[in-house]
Amino acid sequence: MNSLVLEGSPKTPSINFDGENGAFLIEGRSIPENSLDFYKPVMEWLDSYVNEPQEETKVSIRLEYFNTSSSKCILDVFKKLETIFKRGKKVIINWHYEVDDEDMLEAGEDYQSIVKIPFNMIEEDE
Amino acid sequence: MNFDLNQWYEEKIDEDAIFDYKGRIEDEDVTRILNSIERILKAKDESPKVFKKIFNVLIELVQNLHHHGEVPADLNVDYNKFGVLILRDEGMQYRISVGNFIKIEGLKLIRDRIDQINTLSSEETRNLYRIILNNEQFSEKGGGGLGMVEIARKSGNNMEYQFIDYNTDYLFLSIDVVI
Repeated sequence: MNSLVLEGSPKTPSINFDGENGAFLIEGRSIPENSLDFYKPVMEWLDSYVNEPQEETKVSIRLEYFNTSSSKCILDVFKKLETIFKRGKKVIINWHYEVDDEDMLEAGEDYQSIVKIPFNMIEEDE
Repeated sequence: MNFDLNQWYEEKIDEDAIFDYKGRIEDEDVTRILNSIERILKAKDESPKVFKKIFNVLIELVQNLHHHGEVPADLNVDYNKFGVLILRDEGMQYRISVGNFIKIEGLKLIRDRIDQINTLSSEETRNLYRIILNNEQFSEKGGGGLGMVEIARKSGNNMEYQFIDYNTDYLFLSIDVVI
C-alpha cells in the first residue's frame, strides 16, 4: 500500500498517511473555506486502505485549529478507520492538544463520544 | 429613513477598535483578514488561551460572511460576497462585530437559529454540537449548520444580533460576539 503525503498550508493541514507502516498523521490547521474539496483525496486514499489495512493503524492528530466545515470531514476520516476497527484490526487515535487548550481537549472528547475506536488524549507542553 | 451602511460602520470604529474591514470576502480576503488579526493579537501578547478562543470564533464568523454575505445591486461593486468585521478590545473583553446583507426570506431561519442557541446552557450547546456533527447531512454550503453552535460554544456568551431594513429584498444582519 502506498502512502498519502499532502504538504500543509496556512489553511490546510499536512497529511502523512504511511500505508506501509499504518502510521497516520494530520497536523497543523484545517480551516479551508471548502473542506470537502481538500478532504476528497484523503477519503479516496482511505477507501483503498480500508480494503488492505495493516494489522495496527496508529493515528496522530495534532491540530492547532480546525473549522466546523473540517470537523465533519475529520469525523468521516475516523468513521472510515472505524470500519477497520470493527473488522478486528487494531486502531488507535492519539489526540494531541496543547497544555491548557481545553477547547481542543473537548473537541477530542466529542469525537471519542461518537467513534468507537480507542482514543488517547495527550497533553503537550508548548 | 434608509439604513446607511457607512454611517453604521463609522460609528462602530472608536478608540477600542483594533481591526476593521469592509468589502469583498473571497477566499483570499478571508486569509488576509485572519492573518492581519493574528498579527495584531500576537503583537498584543494576548494569552494563548484567549487568543485561540478569539481566533476560533473569528474563523467561523469570517467564513459565515464568505458563505452568506450577499450583495444588493445598489452597492455597485463588481464582486458577490460582501461583509464587514470589526474587532474591539474593550479592556475586560473582546467584541467581534460582523455584518452582512441577507435576503429577506432568510430572516426567520437565521433568527430562530440564533434565538434557539442563545437559550441553551453550555452543556446543551455541547450536546447540540455533537448531534449536528454526527448528522450525515451536509448543508449545501458545506458547513453542516455547526458554525453558529461553535461560535456560541467557544465564546461562552449569547450572540447579540440586529436585523436592519435595507430595501424591499434585503436586510442587514449584524451579530456581536463577546469573548
